[in-house]
Amino acid sequence: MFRARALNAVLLVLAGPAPAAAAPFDTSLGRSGSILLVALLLVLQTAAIVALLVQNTRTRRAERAARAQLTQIARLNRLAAAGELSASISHEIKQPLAAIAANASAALRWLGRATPDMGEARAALERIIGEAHRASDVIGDIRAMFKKAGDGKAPVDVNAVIREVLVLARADLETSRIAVETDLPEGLPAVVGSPAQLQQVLLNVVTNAVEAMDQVAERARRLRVTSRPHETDGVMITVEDSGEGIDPRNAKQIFEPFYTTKQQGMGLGLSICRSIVEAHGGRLTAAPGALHGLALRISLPTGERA
Amino acid sequence: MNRKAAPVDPTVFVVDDDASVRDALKSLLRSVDLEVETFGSAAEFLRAQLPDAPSCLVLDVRLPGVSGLDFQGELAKSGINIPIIFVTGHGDIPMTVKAMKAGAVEFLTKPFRDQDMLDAIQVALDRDRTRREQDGKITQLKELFHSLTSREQEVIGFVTSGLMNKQIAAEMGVSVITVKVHRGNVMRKMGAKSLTDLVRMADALGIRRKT
Repeated sequence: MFRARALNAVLLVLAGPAPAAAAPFDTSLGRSGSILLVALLLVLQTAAIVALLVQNTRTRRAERAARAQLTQIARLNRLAAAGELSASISHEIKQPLAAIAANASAALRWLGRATPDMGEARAALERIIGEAHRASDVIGDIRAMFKKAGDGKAPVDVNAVIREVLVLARADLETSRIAVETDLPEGLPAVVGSPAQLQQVLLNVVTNAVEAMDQVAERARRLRVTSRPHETDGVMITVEDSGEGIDPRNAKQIFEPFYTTKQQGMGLGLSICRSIVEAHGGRLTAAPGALHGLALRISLPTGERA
Repeated sequence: MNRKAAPVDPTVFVVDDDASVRDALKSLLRSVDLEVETFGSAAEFLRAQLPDAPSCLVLDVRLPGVSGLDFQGELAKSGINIPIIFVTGHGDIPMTVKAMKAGAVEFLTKPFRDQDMLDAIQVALDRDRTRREQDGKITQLKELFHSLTSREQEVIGFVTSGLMNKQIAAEMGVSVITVKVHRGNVMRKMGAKSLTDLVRMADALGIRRKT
């Protein structure tokens, strides 16, 4: 657009004083004609350069705007994630609080009866103590969840974590009639990190796999979990399912907060998993797997490098 | 769900997936001499036998498997008219509105005040008591109605829609005298003291002809 306008202006300026424009065209351009042509070419070149510069500036401005927008989106996402998180935390805390309040009321009412029932009152009071500790544990768990993986580090046997998670998920796996294959060679180096957090990551990945196979009817439902030495100083865990898999174009998206394919999901699971794995100095990636579905790979460095 | 005959004390059913909330509520309700039965899930509650007594349901909105609001709908669909008091960790306004519109007695947020809960339970039990009385009356009326002959049943429809004896006779193709006889029998058998009384019964039975 700019280029066309510039060209028009140049042509107007040149056309004005040039007598050649009025003279009838002959086969040779003549002296003034060639000067005109050279001038025209020079002007055209300048115009082109100016246009390119303008375009370049515009592109850069657009890029900056896009980046700002992305930062904004990321910030909003974090805020929304915090909102969701606080809702689920408040639910976890309100359960024991509700129990405490109801137990305390019950205790008062047992004591206020014509013949106070000490046994019932005592039992209610004891439940209050238990619930207070439970509320405190919930807060402790949340704090632990937010603590960096670096805190409370311990050498972790990856295979042991995998086995624990498969035990935890056994009921789900059996209900969904999923055949589990494991290949967990002995002698893997221990990774350094929080066993509880790694367990959480793996459980999340396995649960996702189970859910991904929910609709699978025409082929066997299989879950394969393998562990391997990775590079020179790490361990790689691979979780493959025979579910629907994922469009390669969305492979990156699945780690973004609030990206979900589940109706009930918040879309935070994998994004939290990735944060945890990265806090361990590792990587969590997704790719199409060998069993038709998705393969999630968790690579974790051992203590030497971390 | 079946109805069991024996106990007549009003019963409060509590469905909450959190055992400690269940226990606390149970103790609270027992301390004011209410019969309480607790369940961890909607499915468990459905398997239970409801007593033949006024009852109400204290239902957590967040339940494993099915949401409390959906469960409210399911109960209504299967004709179980138990009054419901909802409790929830964090109730938003749309959720509350939906529950109340669907006939919930109360919507309490955790932690709730004991008096609020007990008041809601009283309201719910009263509501169920009234419903049961009405149900009982309707059942009785139905029995009476079925004891009528088919001609008498026909007459009750015409009479309560405001037709004159002559008109009824024409409609039925019988004599006015016959209509009068049927009419007398209807009033006697139904135990109606007046035409107004009979109209009210016909309304309750839903057999009044629309003219």
